[in-house]
Amino acid sequence: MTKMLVVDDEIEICDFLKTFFEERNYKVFTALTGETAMRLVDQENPAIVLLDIKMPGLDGLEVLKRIKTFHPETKVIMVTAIETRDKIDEANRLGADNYITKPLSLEYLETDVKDKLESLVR
Amino acid sequence: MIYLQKRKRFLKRFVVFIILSSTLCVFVFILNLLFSRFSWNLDLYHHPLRLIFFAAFAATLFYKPFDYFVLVLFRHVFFRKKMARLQALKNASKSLIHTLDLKELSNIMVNTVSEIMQQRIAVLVLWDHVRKIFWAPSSCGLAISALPKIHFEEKDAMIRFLKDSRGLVEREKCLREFSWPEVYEISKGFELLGAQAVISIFCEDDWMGFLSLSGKKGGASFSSDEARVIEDFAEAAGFALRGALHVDELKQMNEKLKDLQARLLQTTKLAAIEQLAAGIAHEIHNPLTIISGKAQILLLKKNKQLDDKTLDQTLKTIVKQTKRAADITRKLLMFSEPKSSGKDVIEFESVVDDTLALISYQTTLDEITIRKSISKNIPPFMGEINEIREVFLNLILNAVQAVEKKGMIYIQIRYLERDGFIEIKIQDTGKGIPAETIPRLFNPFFSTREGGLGLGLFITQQIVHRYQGSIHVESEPGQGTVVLIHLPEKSSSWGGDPVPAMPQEIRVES
Repeated sequence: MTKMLVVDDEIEICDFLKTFFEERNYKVFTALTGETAMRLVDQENPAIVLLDIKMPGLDGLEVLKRIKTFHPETKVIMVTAIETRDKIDEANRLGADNYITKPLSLEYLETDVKDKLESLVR
Repeated sequence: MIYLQKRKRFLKRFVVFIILSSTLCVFVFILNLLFSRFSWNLDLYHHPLRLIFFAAFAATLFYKPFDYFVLVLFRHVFFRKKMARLQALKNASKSLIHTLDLKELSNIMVNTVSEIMQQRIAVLVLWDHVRKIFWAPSSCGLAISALPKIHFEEKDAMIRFLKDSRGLVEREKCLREFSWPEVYEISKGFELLGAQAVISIFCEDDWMGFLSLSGKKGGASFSSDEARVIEDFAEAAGFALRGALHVDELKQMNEKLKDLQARLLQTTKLAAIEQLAAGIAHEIHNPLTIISGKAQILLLKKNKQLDDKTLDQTLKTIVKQTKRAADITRKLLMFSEPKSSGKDVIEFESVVDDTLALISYQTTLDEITIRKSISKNIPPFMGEINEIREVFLNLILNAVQAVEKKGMIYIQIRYLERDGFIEIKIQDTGKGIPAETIPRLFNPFFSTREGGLGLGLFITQQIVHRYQGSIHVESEPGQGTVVLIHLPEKSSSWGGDPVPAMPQEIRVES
């Protein structure tokens, strides 16, 4: 089973993403803060991370930076509300694999997740 | 007309002569009687020199009182009605100076002159120094719609002539002084205004315009008394007009300033909303994401069996999240509402709560704790809700920016019963403000933040002052800042424009 980590400070968002991907045979972990996210990445080493940017404490960009430093093979898809241009550029620079804005199309998200995982297998 | 005036003057002199000579005769007779009683052998009749001496003595002693007596007799017995009118015009000219409203003053001038002097038409034409045009603020007997058609230019012969003439100018006399083609031009000017006489209005040496009069019934000329009173009236009008024009100018400038201030207020409001935009976008996008996510899961499940519990929970979440998104847009809209027309009773607690709702996302992200303490005994405070919201939004946003990350904001509102003040205190544990910067905080366009407009505190202070309140900032660099506002419980600024109402009293006797 592919391991996935969903990071969002909004519990309801974590919830429905967990439901959705669990039904599609993923093992889903959720984190409401950047700190929890880092701990789970270290502990579980997920193949893919869905990451929000704005969070109290350690923010998404900081988490992205750490993941790409310590686990470069982990795929990271940024899932955020509308952001300023420089935030998007910053995320790309730090090595985000994709950038998806809320509200989400779950079908598109699923396709994108599959894409990124296939590129990992190859 | 001149013939008529001559006859009056002759009559007056004749009466003076009769009274004077008869008094003289009586006087000489009494003297003669006295002399003969004391049996002084003085025969006045046979000493012409003495007679002349006594006559001269009597004339010097009694001429002035008699002249005055005759004058009074004429004014109050023979021409009583006219004198009363002239007196009324004199009184009116004295009271002109108290009228500061240009429109009102022009109307009073035109109406007074036309009524008292029985003019069919009277038009006040003023020269606008700034726009370089002539305009008629008021007219009587000539339709106001016809006034824009009254077209004069600075170079017109009539205007050039009027600028140099002090005193009442009558059409006939004036035309006699000119030759063709000025005569034609000037008489056309008079015709346009339906005027027989025109008087320039000066304030000191400043030519301000003129007042045109249709003249007396039957085309009679004004008597010298009438002319003098009209001239006095025009002189008083000149001073009054200058005052009123200044007031008018100030009023216009005040309007412009008000407009500018309203636009500034809008700009700061927008700047504040811009700062909130990111947080608000999240506050709206997150519920939308939840709603759409839950709905998509249901849609994808439609071929499979759905249990009631999941369905129920999903729908409840959707309803809850919809309300959440609607709440934030409603609160945001409050800030873009146009200025409310009247007074509102300000509920400080709800104003604070609404403001905090707008920034809650930001404060959660930045780990800022907000504590508030709002007394229950605050008396009802009347004001404009948008202005009060603006004050709180500006100050709380400033506090959030000062704290940056991890800190506390303390909002306290209480009633200082002894002083009759409502005290608003907003304290933060932010980076503080250096002492040398504090005096400049309220200057417009002063900002310590990069890209900041520097209008927030300026507008805040303006609003507080409008309620006759005071605002102070105390700060300790590294410790935090306290903003203290005192609002008088009853601020009297409410209730309209501060335009002084001057009492008006013009008595017209007839």
